Order: sequence, then C-alpha cells, then structure tokens
Amino acid sequence: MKKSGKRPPQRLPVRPFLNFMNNRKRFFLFAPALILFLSAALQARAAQPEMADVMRQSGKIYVVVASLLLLVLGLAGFLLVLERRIGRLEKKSGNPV
Amino acid sequence: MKLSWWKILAVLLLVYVVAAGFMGPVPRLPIVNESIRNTYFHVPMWFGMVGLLAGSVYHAVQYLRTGDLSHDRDAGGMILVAILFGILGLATGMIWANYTWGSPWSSDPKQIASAVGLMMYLAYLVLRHSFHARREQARVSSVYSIFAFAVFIPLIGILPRFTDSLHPGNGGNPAFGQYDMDNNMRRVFYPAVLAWTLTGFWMAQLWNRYEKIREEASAEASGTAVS
Repeated sequence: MKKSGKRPPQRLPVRPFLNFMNNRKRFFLFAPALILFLSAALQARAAQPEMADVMRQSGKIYVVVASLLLLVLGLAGFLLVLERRIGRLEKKSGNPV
Repeated sequence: MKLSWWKILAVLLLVYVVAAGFMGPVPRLPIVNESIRNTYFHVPMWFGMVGLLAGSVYHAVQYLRTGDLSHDRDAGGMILVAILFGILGLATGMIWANYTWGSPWSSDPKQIASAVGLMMYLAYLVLRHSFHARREQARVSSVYSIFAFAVFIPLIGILPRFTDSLHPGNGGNPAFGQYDMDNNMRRVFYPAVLAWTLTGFWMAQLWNRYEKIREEASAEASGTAVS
C-alpha cells in the first residue's frame, strides 16, 4: 500500500466511521444514504463550476491591484507626454541631451 | 538638483501607502472584502483633484488681480493634472463598482456628478486652447475656472448627499463613520490623501516649468516678450 506523505486538509472521523460501517446490516442501511449524500454534494459542486474569476478571488484583492496598476499607468502616461514634449523643445533649441 | 522637502515627503508617503495599504489591517466586511483597500487609491484621486482645482482658483484670482501670466500658466497646469486625476478616479471607481455594485456604471448620483464635473473642466481645456491672444486666453479661462469650481464643489460634494446614493457618505450612508473606516484605516487613508495630492502638485509643477520654457522659447523666436 502506498503511503502518501500528505495529511488530509480536514480531519474527518474516518476510523470511527469505518468501525461504524463494519457491520453488514448497518452497511446496507447507510450505504445508499451515503451515496445519495455524496452525489448530491458532487452535483452542488458541479452547479457552480470553477471559472477564472480572478477579480473575485482572494477577497477581491485584485480589484485593488488593478486600480493601483491603472493609477501607475496614468502617471506613466503623463510622464511620457511630458518627456516627448520636452524632447521636442530640446530638439528645437538645438541642445538635445 | 535639489529636491524640495514636500517632494521627498510625497515619495516616502506613497511608499508607505502602497505597503500599508496592501498589508495593513482593514475591517472585514461582506461584498467589499479586501477591495475596501481601494479607499487608499481611488478616494485620494478626488481629494487630489479638488486640491489641485482649489490651487488653480487661487492662481486664477491672482492672475485677475495682478495680470501676471505666470499665475495663469500655473492654473492651467493644475487643472490639466486635476482632469487626469478625475479620469483616473472615475476609472478606478468603475473597476471597483463592477465587483461590488455589480456594474461599472450604475448612474449613481456621484458618478453622474463627477462625469459632469469632468466635462466642465474638459470644456475649460477647449476654451483655453481656442484663443490665439495670450492675454485674452488668460483672462477668459481664469474667469471660467473660478465659475467652474463654484459649480464643481456643490456638484460632487453637496448634491449627491441629498439623494439616494450607493456611495459611502451619501444618501444616509455613513462616510468615514464607524462602519467603513476604523482607526487602522485612517492611519493609512490620511497619509494617502496627502501623498497623492502632493504628487499631483508635483506633476502640475513639472508641467508648468515645461510650459514656461516653451512660452519663453516661442516668444524669443517671435521676438515678443512674454512674462
């Protein structure tokens, strides 16, 4: 048996559950319920497919990242316009840097 | 080159605002979640814009009093940067609104008012650049900018508070009340307002220094004196 080094992220009561189900009567009583429950859970997951909703991830922090990025781009655009205008002036005055 | 103390302050504050703005503690609120941190980046745009426009009104009044064209130049540069800040404020607000209010444009009173305000100042640019005579340009655009500011402040500061609005601080929503800003946020927000406003004045100053050299160069070329 392969032993995986990873621990399950959430501690489920696996051992008590297996002990509980280790009884033919109980097994046949609870197994259908368990299958129904699991399939319902899977359907609930399937109803909300995971999409690339980056902007809504991680507490919407990327909304702030996008805003700051836009501000930086705006300031850079201003600098670029000023840079070009000063360059033109330098060319006209005959002493480009 | 010697850097003025307030420019160094602006850089230091911006570094602090970006670092503390992303990592500092904020209230855990539904829907807004971490995007509450946009308070440090979107809101100061409007404070910076109003600061720059107030500065432009000062220079417009000074031009009309003294007739010194350097005042008109300063007013023009400040309004230019103020318009840039306004566009950035509107755009960052629309990004944020898309993920909190559900749509980038909800025709919120403050959205409409700031769009109208921006239009007024874009009209200022059109007006300013439709004159050939420098003195005429300075006089008319100074008068217009004083008038525009007198409309702009009630438009974005007072009128939205009388109606229902999605914005915090309007239509009965708390502004900087206990619900959406705690003392941890104030510790970043007030420096953020100062940092972005100082950055705006810095940008306007660079622009005006360029304009001064350009005007002097073109006056030299045409052989007329411009103050």
